[in-house]
Amino acid sequence: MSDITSIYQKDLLRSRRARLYFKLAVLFTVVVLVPAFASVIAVASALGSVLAIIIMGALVLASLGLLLLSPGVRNFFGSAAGFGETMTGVADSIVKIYVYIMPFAATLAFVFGALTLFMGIRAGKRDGGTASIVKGSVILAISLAGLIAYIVMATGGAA
Amino acid sequence: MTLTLYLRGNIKDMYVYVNGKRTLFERRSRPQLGEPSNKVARIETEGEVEISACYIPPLIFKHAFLYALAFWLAGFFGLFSPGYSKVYYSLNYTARAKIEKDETFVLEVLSPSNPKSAARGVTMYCNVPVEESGCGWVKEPKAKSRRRAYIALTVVFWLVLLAALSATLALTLL
Repeated sequence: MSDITSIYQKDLLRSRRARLYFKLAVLFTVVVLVPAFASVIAVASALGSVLAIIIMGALVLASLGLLLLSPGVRNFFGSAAGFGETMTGVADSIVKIYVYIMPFAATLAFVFGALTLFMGIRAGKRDGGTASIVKGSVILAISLAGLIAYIVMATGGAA
Repeated sequence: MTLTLYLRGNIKDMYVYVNGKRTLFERRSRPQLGEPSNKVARIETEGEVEISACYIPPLIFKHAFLYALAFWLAGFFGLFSPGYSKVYYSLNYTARAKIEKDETFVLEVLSPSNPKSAARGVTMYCNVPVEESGCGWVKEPKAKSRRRAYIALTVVFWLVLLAALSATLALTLL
């Protein structure tokens, strides 16, 4: 194998890694965005972490609402009373899981955002480098906002 | 001396090297008047210059299985891992030329989508004599079979996982 092909392999693997980092950064940022917004709203309205969790839960449930309320799922769960209880249980679990997942997602989004930014700086001005710098910076800012919001929320909850 | 290199043709993940260094092209929205392409690079060089264009499907790399597995795992079992191109050909083109003043080269890369353009592959247009090698695309049947196997395994994995999750949920709730 000549030199160029081995250099090419390294370059292509680096480019694929950059694409993967960006996708993961976006994924974790999306996870962070919902509670981050909810937390910011909650902090702004000075009502503490309870409202944050309620808004967060409502946003998560809104995305699952159509699925859970569809006739097929209703039939699957059985009677209306049983369905109501299951719904409450599911909502409760989702909110609990979300509160645990959020700081990890924010940290991972921060890490992958930093990697995207780093890859962009390394690529230079051309070949999508500037775009990577912008994307990485936006993700870093959002994930940082999410982390701060979570810390504020957690501190508010403890107080 | 400045070497102005234009690139015609758009093959994703095909990289161009000048004297062993990767060349990044400036992309304009459209070619300017009198220019052969909207992708241009200006390189300062002297004497002999070696221009290479390279494309190899990632699934035929050395240790391709390990790389594919690593990306598959990191990308949540193939859900977020970067996809593999449908170009089942490889290209390893090299052109050597001696330049004594500012020169303009146009590198035209044809897609391997039909046999005629696959055989022609790369054409270099310039005003100096060029020694070329590896102009045509070379078919890589391994890349095709491996890409299909990769997609099939990912789909089967997700079907099995969803079936297992549904079964667990049904058994828990009923």
